[in-house]
Amino acid sequence: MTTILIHPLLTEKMTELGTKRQYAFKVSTQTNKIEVAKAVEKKFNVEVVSVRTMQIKGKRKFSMTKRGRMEGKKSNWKKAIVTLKDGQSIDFLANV
Amino acid sequence: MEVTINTLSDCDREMDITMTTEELQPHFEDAYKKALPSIEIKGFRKGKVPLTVVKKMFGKSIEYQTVEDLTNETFRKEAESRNLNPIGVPTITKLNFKPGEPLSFKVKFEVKPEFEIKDLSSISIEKYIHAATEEEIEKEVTRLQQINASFEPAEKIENENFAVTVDMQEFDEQGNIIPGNKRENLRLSLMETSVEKEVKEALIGAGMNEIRDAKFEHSHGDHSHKVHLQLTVRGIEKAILPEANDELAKKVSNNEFSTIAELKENIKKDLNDFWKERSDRRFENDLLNEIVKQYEFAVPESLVAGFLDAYVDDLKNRQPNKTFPRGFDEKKYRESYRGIALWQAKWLLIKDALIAKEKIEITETDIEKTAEAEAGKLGIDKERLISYYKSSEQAAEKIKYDRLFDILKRSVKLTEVETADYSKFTVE
Repeated sequence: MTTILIHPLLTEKMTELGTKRQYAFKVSTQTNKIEVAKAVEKKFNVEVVSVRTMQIKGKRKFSMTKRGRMEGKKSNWKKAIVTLKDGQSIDFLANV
Repeated sequence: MEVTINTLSDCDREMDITMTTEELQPHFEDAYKKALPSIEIKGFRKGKVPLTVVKKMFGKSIEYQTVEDLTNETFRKEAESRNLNPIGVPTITKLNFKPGEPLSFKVKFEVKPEFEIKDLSSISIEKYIHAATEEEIEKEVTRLQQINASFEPAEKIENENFAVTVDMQEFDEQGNIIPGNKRENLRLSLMETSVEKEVKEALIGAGMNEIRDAKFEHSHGDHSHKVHLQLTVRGIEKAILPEANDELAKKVSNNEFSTIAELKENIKKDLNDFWKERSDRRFENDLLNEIVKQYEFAVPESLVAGFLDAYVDDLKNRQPNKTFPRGFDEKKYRESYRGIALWQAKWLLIKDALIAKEKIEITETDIEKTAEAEAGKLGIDKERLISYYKSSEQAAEKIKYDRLFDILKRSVKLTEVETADYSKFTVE
């Protein structure tokens, strides 16, 4: 069984979305919207209204070494933005 | 905020402070505001991290840091408002704080002890003085004659007016040769005071190639050891002393004095200056000792420790590479100097109290007068000295002390006692 929710995305943009009851997660590339919704509901004890997912392509990376220019690529990953029912929220930092 | 001051001893105090959460909150808010612009978290631009995130992630450390700053600041303000004048480094002995709860802490600190200024008129001190005698002047003239002596070869050492070349071998206490402790063709002038009395006595009467033994106790600082030397006479020279006349006076003074009478007069003056300087120093030492004895009060430990630190630093700075030799016991060193440090700390407190009581302040005229007096002695330009005295706190303290010492001198019963006993002029 793979982990559905890898970690929440805590960025300036996503914090802003929080005001609209929307929270972002890095999720497994193998998972689907239904699984994400269920996982969020179970983990944070909330009701999910909708889930939007998107595939993010890994960035290309270059570095100059003695052997010349080395080229690489970061892994592709999947982002999920879940919208909660009115009046609900998630505190990612509750356990910090 | 609740503040209680507890008196633990004559010099020790404890300040007990309690602050409510309402009193702490504005300080924490300020701290967050100050911290915000410098906080960097991945996913946020610098300074754009929301306050809620900062509070969650760094709240505890920011609050603990604020509490630490707050304890110092609050203690300083409270001590100032109560005119406590703490000395040394205050220490926090107890600190209770948890986020969301009140803060309470205790600070232990030292204050200057309170004491009454004593009447010094009951103190009587003997000031030892000495005027140069004819005998001392003649001894000095003889020394000058010896320095300017010429030498001629001789067969036998008749008295101290001889220079002897010897081979010198040292033996241990069992009478065995100490390898390496041999010196050959060493020239000794028996007129010099640095040559041991026993060496002189052993050599007087000896002829060429004769062997003499000299045994004596040799002291180095705080310890002494037995020395056994075997001296083989390799050369004898008789000192021919120049006559104590005008010629000698001109020679030894580089023509400053043309007659032996003038030279003797100058020797007399120098000797009198020497004795006066010794006399003044001993008197100052005795007077301060007597004054310190009059006072019984507890001396703040931090002051004593401050003096001990200064002694240790001074000793360290005088060592090669400014490091103590292996095996140096600093603790033992501090213990041995504790008495002196205690005396110095006590005198410092008494001196400050006396200066305050006498209302000694330094004026421009004081500085000018001191500069004028010192300029001649030191050979430094008066104006330069004035600017130095004005800028140096140490120099100002010295001028204040000199004025205080003048007052103290007049406050005690002083009896001058003429003596030629040199030990009376040494400072303990």
